[in-house]
Amino acid sequence: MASDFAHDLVALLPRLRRFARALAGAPDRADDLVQSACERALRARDTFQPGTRLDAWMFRILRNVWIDAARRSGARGGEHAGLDEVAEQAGWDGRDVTETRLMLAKTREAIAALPPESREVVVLVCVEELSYREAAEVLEVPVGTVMSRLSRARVKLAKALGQVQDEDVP
Amino acid sequence: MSGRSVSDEALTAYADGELDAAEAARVREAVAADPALARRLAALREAREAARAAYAEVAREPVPAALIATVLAADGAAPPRRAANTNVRRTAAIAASVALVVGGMLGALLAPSPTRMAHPLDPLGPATPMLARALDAAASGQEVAFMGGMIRLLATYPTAQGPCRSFAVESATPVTALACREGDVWRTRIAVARPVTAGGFTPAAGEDPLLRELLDRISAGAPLDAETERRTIERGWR
Repeated sequence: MASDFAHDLVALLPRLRRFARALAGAPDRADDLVQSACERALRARDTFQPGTRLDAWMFRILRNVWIDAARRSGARGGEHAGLDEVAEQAGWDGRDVTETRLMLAKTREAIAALPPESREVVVLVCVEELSYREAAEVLEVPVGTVMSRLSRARVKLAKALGQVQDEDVP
Repeated sequence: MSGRSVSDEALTAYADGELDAAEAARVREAVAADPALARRLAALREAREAARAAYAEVAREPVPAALIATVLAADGAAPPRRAANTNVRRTAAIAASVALVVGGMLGALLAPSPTRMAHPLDPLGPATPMLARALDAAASGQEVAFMGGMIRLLATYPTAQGPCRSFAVESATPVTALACREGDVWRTRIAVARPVTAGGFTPAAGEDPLLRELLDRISAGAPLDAETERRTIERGWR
């Protein structure tokens, strides 16, 4: 029988997969990260403090796994489905959602193009909806660092999405 | 950057609700007095919403069975801190978040290949031809050969999205599963393995509580009676 801890991890898998996908891009690579992070977490379960947030603890482990994997392979870049592929999927889906899908794909590409330090803070705050303090704990940096990285990343993202007019951009 | 009365950092933190009351009031006033600042704040808000939306659907995808199986298998390899104690809330959370639960040694049993997508009960792909034939043609109560063992069809449930069928895979680790027909293909929505414990507890061949939970969530109707089911099979599930 699986332990409560493992059941809690399984219940978190959808969010861990999302976090990994946003960090690393390609689905198979992201799932490899999730799997390694879960295995690492199960080995280290005694260091988890009951009553604290398991999701934040898992994000920290997953991020470390990502950094370790990148160190081995030499890159922390995101790999994302190109726009053509997304358009194909939309057609396959048979629904008229191409425009929305293209916008989503454009956003994913813009996030993947961010430097890793910017991408991880955007993903923690905007995608996973952690507070600045929680994100700072996951990343093990001061809250001020989260604020400055996040605001630079958000401006970049807004520019990439055409939401910031040129005259507004510094 | 020159001349702007509120920094991007302060605007971003304001958009995220991270400023204290006094700072937030200062930003609010400045934004109200400056249309360019208001546009910039809107853009920062939209960037956040775009990022959230861009990955929202990933968290709704069914989790690959192989991933769940690996986590549960890794759990068995590590000593548990406390005894297993499944409660209803947790059960519901798991049923809502996963499409397939494979426990104990089942991963190795049903997925001898290291290829993830090759799992015959994988929720991401359509049912394998062998499983699809059984789901298409066998009446509930009937047994069909499957992967060196047997599948017993249990029941057929109507849902708004189409019919779903529960079935049991008989093997050393009994599995109960639910597959639903989407268009012309059957997809396994959930498969639950209940390893037979040393204590000799063998679950009844009926419905697993996790299947029940899923059936409730997709508002499945009462199981079809034998005659209705037979006609549905003859019509080719139209």
